[in-house]
Amino acid sequence: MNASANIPPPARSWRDIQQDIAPRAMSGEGRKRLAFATLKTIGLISIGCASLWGGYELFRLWKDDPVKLHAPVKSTPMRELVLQSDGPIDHDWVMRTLELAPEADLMALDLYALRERLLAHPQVRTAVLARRLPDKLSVVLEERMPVARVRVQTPEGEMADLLVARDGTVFPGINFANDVVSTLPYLDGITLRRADRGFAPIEGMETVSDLLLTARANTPDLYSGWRSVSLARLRSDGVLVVRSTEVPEITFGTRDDFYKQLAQLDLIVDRTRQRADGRTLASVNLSVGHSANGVLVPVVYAEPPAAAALSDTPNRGALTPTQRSQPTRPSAFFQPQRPSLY
Amino acid sequence: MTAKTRYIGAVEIGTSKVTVLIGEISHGRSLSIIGYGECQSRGVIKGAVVDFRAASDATHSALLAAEQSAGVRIDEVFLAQTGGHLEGFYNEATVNVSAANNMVSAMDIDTVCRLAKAKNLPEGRMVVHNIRRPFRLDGRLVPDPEHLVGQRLDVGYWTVHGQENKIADNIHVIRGFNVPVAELILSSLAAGTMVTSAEDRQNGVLVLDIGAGTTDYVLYRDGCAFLTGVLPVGGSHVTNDLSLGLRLTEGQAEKMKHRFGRATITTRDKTEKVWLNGDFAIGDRQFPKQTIEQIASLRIWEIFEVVKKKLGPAFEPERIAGGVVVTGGTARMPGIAEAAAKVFDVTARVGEVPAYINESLRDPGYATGLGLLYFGLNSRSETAAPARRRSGGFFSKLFATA
Repeated sequence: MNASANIPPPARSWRDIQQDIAPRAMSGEGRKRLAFATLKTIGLISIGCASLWGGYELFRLWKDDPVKLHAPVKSTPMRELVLQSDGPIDHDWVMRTLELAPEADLMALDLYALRERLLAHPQVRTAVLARRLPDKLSVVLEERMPVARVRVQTPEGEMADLLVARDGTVFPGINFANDVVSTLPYLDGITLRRADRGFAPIEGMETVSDLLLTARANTPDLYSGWRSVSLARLRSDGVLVVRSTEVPEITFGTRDDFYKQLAQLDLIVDRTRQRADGRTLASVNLSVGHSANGVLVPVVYAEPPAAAALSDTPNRGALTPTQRSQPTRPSAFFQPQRPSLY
Repeated sequence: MTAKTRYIGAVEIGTSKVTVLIGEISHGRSLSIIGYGECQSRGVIKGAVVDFRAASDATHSALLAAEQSAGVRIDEVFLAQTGGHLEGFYNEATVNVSAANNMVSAMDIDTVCRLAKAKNLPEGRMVVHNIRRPFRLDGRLVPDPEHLVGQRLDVGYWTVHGQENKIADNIHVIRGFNVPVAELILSSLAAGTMVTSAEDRQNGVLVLDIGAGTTDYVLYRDGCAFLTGVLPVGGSHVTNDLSLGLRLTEGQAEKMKHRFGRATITTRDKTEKVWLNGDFAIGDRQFPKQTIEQIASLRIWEIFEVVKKKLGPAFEPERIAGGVVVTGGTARMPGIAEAAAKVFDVTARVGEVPAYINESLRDPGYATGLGLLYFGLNSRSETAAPARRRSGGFFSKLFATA
């Protein structure tokens, strides 16, 4: 048995005295203080209960129907939509897409839902919506720029051109000028796959974009004749094959600098144009060989009718540095860049 | 009030006046006296409430005045307790150390403390304080025996108890203002803490708090309160004696006491007389100054003699190196320290509060109120005691180290 269990309990202390007394035994000031303390307690409890109830109601409303949650400020109708974009998307398209009611309540707008509507179109890369009090809605867009196009068959059976951005996104262009779109080369050797919204991004487009943008910026004369770019051998051989009006087949290697390859192509085309025999280029393979150390770039000339009989002529099919004539005009490679696409 | 600031009231309901001091305790460490209220007491005789309504009115007036001067509301009250009904006794307990290696454990300490406090009181009596004396381990004094090695552990408690209804009356007067009473503190302990130093208490000192209706005393030894007591006699008895002896009204006698009363007789000329009012108006009379001094000194000497007798063998002049300290309202009477020195045959002085107290509160009459505030400050910052004994209450810890 525990020894402490035998110890009797301590004697009654003054703390055992009941301190509460009846209000009538209090003085006037005491009663006033008691009433104040009681009111204070009731007030605090009321505030606490009201806060809890309000929080619960708010949570329930938010959970059941968030649309009913209006902003806790005075309603203000939206008067103006301020658009800022780096592409051709205009104010009308944004208004149509957002489907804003006239005099819509600015504070009641669900900016997240509106942003999703804008982003539903693949041409829109990013969208930032903000209220600019008192009555403006600011929309800032960043758009995808096309670098090529693909021809697809619509569900109605018609053929239509879609644009392809640098990141491989395939999208129908909005408000792009026809002369801009018509100069874009087609993509070849690809397989389009359906995705949730349109088509899945095309792989390898960054490489294609680098080639096309470099060509467009530095050799606009050559680029203007490019009709298609094939990605069929990109993954297997690491080459891009361009078909143009002047050279039926130009092969670019992706392991070497496009800038350098375009300079070689420009030189070859320029030399070919100067040839007296009027021969044209059948294909140029820039993915192999070097010109600086004397190794030949594989160039194939088209067979002229008269030259068919002379097919056994030595050195045919390759252009050596010793055979090249001096250029008579500046290379197009050094011509100024073209203006913007739109 | 912020969470780290609380306002405590120190209330002394005396026979002649009610004193209230308000202290602002910040972060439990610093105390500022920010309010003061005083009111003439009514309905209180010899420290006991005899007219609840009158005592409440006087106390609440003082509380209200203090709150108005401080500009804050009191959160809790530290109340001084006095009165002739208070008595004390000493009880001691011993336990054998339970561990095989004779190391004192917290359980041993708890057991011996509970044994020492386990003493039944007569019906209608209540404990006001359990004041612990130092532990003794195999006969040697130790402040904290835990983890020390010994075989026998002794401890004693000086238990102060009083009549339940009189203590409850005191508390209910405060509750009538709708403020809780946080602590009930013996007046002598509150005053003694303020007018003595820790060294005094360690060396031994006797503190006499002579109020209007009661004389509270506490004997400190070995750093803690050794013995306390209350005499239902005070300065008002001097007034009463003067009133009877000189055939004066109570007010006139009180005035004569303040002007010419002395605890020792210095006037040798029996013919030297003093005027009652000094304005030569009708009723103004002359009284022998030596007679006034004789009446006052006889009563004061008598109070001291009674205290000495009450102390009995506990009063050993050689163990009271700190001497006698006289405080309370009556300590203002000239010659009271000399009288105490002669009666107790030790050095004596009028108690002085520490120098950091404001000049207006250095009067001996405020020593109790200041001591209550001191306890209020320390009641939340006690950390030294072991955890097991910490649950035994604030005073058991305080007086163990005081």
